Amino acid sequence: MKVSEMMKNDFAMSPFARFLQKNGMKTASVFYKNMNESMMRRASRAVRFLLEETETPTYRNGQVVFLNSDFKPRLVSVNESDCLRLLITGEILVKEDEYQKIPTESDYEEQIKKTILENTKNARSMKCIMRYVNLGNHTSMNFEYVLKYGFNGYRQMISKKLDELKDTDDYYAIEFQESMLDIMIGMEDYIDRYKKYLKSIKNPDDKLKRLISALEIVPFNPPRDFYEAYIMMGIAMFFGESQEPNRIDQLLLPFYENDDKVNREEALFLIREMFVDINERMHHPGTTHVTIGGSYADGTAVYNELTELCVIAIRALRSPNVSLCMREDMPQKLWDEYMYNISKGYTQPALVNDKLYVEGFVNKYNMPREDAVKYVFGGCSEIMIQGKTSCDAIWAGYNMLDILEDTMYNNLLCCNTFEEFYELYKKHLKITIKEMEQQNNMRQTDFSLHYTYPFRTLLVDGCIDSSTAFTAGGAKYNFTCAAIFGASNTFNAMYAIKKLYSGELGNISKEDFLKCFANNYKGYEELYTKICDLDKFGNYNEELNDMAHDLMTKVFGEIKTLRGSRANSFYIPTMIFWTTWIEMGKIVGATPDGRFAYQPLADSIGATQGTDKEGPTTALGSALSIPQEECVGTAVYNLFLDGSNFETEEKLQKTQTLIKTYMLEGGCQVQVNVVDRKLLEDALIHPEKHEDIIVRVGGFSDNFIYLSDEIKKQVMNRNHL
Amino acid sequence: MKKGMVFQIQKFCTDDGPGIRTTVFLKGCPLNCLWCHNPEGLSTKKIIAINYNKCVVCGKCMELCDCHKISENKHIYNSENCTTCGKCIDICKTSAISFCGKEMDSESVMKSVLADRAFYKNSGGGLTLSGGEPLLQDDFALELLQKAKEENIHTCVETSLGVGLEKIEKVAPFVDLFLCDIKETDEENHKKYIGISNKLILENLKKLCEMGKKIKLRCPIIPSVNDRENHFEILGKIYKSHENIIDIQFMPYHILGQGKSDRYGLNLSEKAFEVPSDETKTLWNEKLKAIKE
Repeated sequence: MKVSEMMKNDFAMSPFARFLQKNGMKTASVFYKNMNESMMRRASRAVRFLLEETETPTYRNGQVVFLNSDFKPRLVSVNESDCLRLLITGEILVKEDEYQKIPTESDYEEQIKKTILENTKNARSMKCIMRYVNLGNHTSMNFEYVLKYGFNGYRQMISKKLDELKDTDDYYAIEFQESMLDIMIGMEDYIDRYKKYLKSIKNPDDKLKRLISALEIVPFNPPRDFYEAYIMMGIAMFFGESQEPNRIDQLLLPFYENDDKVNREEALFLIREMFVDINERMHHPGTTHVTIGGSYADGTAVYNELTELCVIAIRALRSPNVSLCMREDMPQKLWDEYMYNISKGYTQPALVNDKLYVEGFVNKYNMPREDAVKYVFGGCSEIMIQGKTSCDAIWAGYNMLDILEDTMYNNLLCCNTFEEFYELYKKHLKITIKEMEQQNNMRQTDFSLHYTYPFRTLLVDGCIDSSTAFTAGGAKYNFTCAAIFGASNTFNAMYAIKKLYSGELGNISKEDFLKCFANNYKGYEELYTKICDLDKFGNYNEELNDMAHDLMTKVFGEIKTLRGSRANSFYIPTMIFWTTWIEMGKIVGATPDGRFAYQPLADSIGATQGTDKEGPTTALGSALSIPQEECVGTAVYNLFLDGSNFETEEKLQKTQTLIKTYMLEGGCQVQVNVVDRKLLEDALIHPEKHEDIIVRVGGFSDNFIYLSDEIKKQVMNRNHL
Repeated sequence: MKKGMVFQIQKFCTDDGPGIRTTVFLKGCPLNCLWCHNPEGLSTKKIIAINYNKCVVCGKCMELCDCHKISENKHIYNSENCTTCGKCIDICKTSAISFCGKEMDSESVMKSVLADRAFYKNSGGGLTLSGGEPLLQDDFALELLQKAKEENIHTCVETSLGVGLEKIEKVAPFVDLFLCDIKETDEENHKKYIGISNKLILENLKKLCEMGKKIKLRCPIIPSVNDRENHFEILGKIYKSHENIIDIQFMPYHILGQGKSDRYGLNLSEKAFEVPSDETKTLWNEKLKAIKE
């Protein structure tokens, strides 16, 4: 029986549902059918209803992926929010403007109308303090499981669970398992109708025939060949609304090796099509991730032909992000493909330090090695274990410079020595980090009350077993990535404060020092110059590097002691920046690192923009003074190199060594950008921001901004500097 | 501990010898090449440098000293009568004026050099001394090279060889590779464009070969000065004259150093040579290949 048939009798549902049904809000009425049922039960039934009732996507000529990217489920009713969101979150929303127009016939109906609106509004405005809030969630589907057992494996798993529960009074768990069956039924209906539609297309070409034949097997039965496995991954990503192909080079390898029908060229084509599809789905870069290379649990390396194809397939695409897990034994052939990509300015893949993550999880988080080696990244670089993780991500995070600003204004005047001030700041770090935990945990609990994520609950390992929603701690691993911002700014600002105490900033009182920032440096131009002239993090200065090490050891250490409200949930420090470093700057006034009020913060763990004057080895050396091995949630370094570093075989080799050395010395992740014309143009207008661009010709090198205007122009007109 | 006059410590040098290197530029040069792109290294003393990006033309330095002038709302600095007293540096509120050249002891230079040790280790790189002519400060150079060898770091010296043989002999035991600039093979031309005869240089090169030191030749190719067929021929002969000369590199003329004349207030008789086109450079490259065969 379809859900729509269950909804035929007006008096077999709550008054709330009846009211909604009468006003054409079908999905919402399913959700409110029986409010004595658990949230997951109600959400899953609504999701099933939607799967049964919405149109299936149309076929695009030549399509090889499961669904083409322009597909969006059709709206069910004008009063209800888009169905895609329901599919993802299990959350019912109403469109307030439209909803308000609904007439009511009694005070009781008026009360129902008001309550429903309040419910949906509250779901949207979870209480939090903006200073620490983390928003967004990343996950990855349990590809390993579905590639082995198909979705039908879940059916068996649920039946087994229901058998175990049948003589107990754990009705909540029973309901949970039944709701998972609803999702299965909905998906079966949906895939079935999609298949019928595909079969109805006249004169099918080979690609369409192949897609139809794959859908006869997947997703419910395990795939038998490369293409079926490929479609299986696409379906899991679609239903999980998580475009994260994860360790695709490992997942598809057995199918690639045992399939005579697929050769290198075809595999590259298919992987490229998947990446292009993801690129089209994502409206902005940096929110999905592919993780390749790395290690197997027995310590051997993963690098294979598919790893190489992924590196080739990502060329000139913004999404997905690709991270290549580097081990010391990464083959030169793969290095060559990687170096080609970055020399062309593609910036992808990012290079990540395999050993740091695996050993970090094994030794610092007591994770079994077979799980640790399957770390993957979601979105920007949030860390997860493939198929087993719910990961709360950054959007905002922990802003060290914001904390310093308050310490500075409140305590500078009363601290007689720098040491006193510095220790006080560290005390404030401890207090605020603890408070971040409380704020976040409250929000996570709140989140789980409003959102159930039914698909992810089905497709992420641990939820069915524990009869717990994905959002409520059902996943095997629950990480909260505590994103740290403003670290480099803080080192520089703290260094300036140290120089204030030591008198090296000249004869200036603490009051004037504070006034300078309160006035955004206006009237304090001389002090501004002096502050700018101080050494900055990213250049060779042991005092600064020691300070960076000390402060980050403290911050990482405190964050690691935090525990989330979800089952076995812990906090992982991260230093990823996405676009948030601009937003995070907007809430901080002028600071003693030479930064004007509301200006962006540093965009990586390296120097603040353009202040590393001594070249990449020194800047990378500074970044290594941050104890990155304690930052298992990824610390991103954006390396800018000019094109001349890629000109000859010899230079490519040296640049490769530069990057490899950084990683072997303990660097976590590096993303290489080639200095392009746009950057040079900006350097013409804002030379003060670009002291880091070094131009090299033969044995000659000089900072770009110091060249004469005439020569700057010539340099810009060359393909390579 | 010896002190020396250093005008730059450049990290991640990929052109001054094998691997990733740190090049320490020592001040002072006995030559006077018309195409010099590091003119700030000519004098053995520290000099004044102006960062025009930072100058707001406030006029404070001009009130203080005649070396600084304003012309067409631009700051013009002339080093001719400059005593490098540094008073203008103190008075400048935007730090647009600074010293080029710093007296450093070998320990602090080496501290900076050793910070990149991991990069040398993985790339086979190390320390390169350049200039100016680094062997003008032979005792200081010796101490740096000795310290580098104590730390097991590869060493290069880039030299014009325009110094007394005893200076070369002094440092040679601590140098893994000499980068020798052979600028002009015709003696008259050498005098004309570089200011001295090339006899000493070629003599020193021979001696250096006999000492058993590894040598790489670095040859600036300047249009209208030495882009002659017979110069290339003689370079080829020199290259083949001894097995210790392991490599030869052409360095095509470029003008990236031209703005430096203003920056350091130097009245250089800056003869602008023609910048070789890509085709010309390819042609030279072919000649180089022929030499190496």
